[in-house]
Amino acid sequence: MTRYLTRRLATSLLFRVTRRYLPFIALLLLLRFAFALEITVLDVNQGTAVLIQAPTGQTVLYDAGPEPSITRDLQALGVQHINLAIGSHAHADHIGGMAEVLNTYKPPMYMDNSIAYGTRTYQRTLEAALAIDAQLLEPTRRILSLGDVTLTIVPPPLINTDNQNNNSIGVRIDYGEFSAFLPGDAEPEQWEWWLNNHPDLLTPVNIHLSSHHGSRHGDTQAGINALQPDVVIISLGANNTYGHPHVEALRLYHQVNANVYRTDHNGHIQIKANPDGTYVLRSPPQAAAQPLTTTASATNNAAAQQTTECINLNTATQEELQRIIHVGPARATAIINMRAAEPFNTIDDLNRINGIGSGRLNDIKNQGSVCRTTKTSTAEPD
Amino acid sequence: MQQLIIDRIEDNTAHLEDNDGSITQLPAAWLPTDAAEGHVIDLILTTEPHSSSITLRINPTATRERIEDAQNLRAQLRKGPEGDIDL
Repeated sequence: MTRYLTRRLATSLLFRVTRRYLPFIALLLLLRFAFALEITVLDVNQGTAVLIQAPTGQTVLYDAGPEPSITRDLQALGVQHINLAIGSHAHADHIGGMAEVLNTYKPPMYMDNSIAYGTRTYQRTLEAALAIDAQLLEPTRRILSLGDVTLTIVPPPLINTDNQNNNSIGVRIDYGEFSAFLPGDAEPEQWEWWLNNHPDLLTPVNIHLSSHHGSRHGDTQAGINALQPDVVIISLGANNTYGHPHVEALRLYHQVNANVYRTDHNGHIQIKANPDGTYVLRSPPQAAAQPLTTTASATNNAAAQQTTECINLNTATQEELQRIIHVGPARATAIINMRAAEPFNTIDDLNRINGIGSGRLNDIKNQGSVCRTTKTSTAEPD
Repeated sequence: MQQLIIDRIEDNTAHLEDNDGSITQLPAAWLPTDAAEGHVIDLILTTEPHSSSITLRINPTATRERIEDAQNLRAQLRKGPEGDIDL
């Protein structure tokens, strides 16, 4: 009886305290997100565009995707102004929409890799920068402060200027304990130069934008080992002609236990980061893709924990695998043995399993219980 | 005569920029062997009764001029501050 009364009293007290302080708790949560840094990797098909919005209001656009239509994406995301537009390098899949961005948003500052390029796209970009009287920032190593958020320019080597990819402007983003790295399309030569000349900027980060859209010619083992990202985001188009992401790149990310997200699967991917190192990944509602519902903490360097359940072919247990249609104990064992030799990259890789042909593969896809990407733990069932 | 500019060559695919800035993709193997990104390529059409062909030829003069034009345009931009800055 006494225990019953005690329990009722405690419940009642908890209820009253919760009710009394609920507005304060809600306010604290709101304030937490009000002071978050937002990084949005836009779904621009096969190209790159990353929006960086500081809690103090400054906005930087890193690359402008392949098409002028990026301005519609930015408007849909509610972007009112841009303080600085950066073209990581002059290829059209990175600056195809830059002239329109400059014409529309008239940022007071513009930065490129300083290599004069002969394309009409680059010419239109410069003409637009001239027309709005934007200040030209040279891509030297420097810190750009957006309140408490800092962007450190990781400079291009400018040694062999015939290669645009290997003269990408890199950006390291820091906000308290949170950090991210944007490498443009840096290839092995540039990674080696960065590691030799700016090793202090290539230290562990929470978020890494896959170099060169997940190409085998982008990120390197040494670069990824230095960055040790929790999460890798690949900006790429669906069914692109290059076969991106290449398995070699995915394997690099797998080796450091990074979770991988892809714009071709998830649409825009937005990170809301707090100075204590915690961050949330989601798809903004403007994008058609489903929410990612992923949270992570940088303090324990934990990989993002997915909250939507799907069966990951590279991590699921024998019992979990048997929840997949047409997968019994023998095929579950085969999956486990096969992934040890080579991780599964997509659900289609299941056709490597004896007895799973196109018909059964379709049944598995229709069942919808297997994660679309496997090692990568994207929380979106196929 | 039409001119295309090589925007980039990736994974055996050449991306060539047309006059309006749109991109056309071609197998990189179809380019002249010395072709590289940034080169201006002349397209020279030859027609005969039963066949036609297009020759792709590097135009070094146009390539140099376009780079010089870009350098001049960039040089006209107002110089921003050096070193660390507050945005």
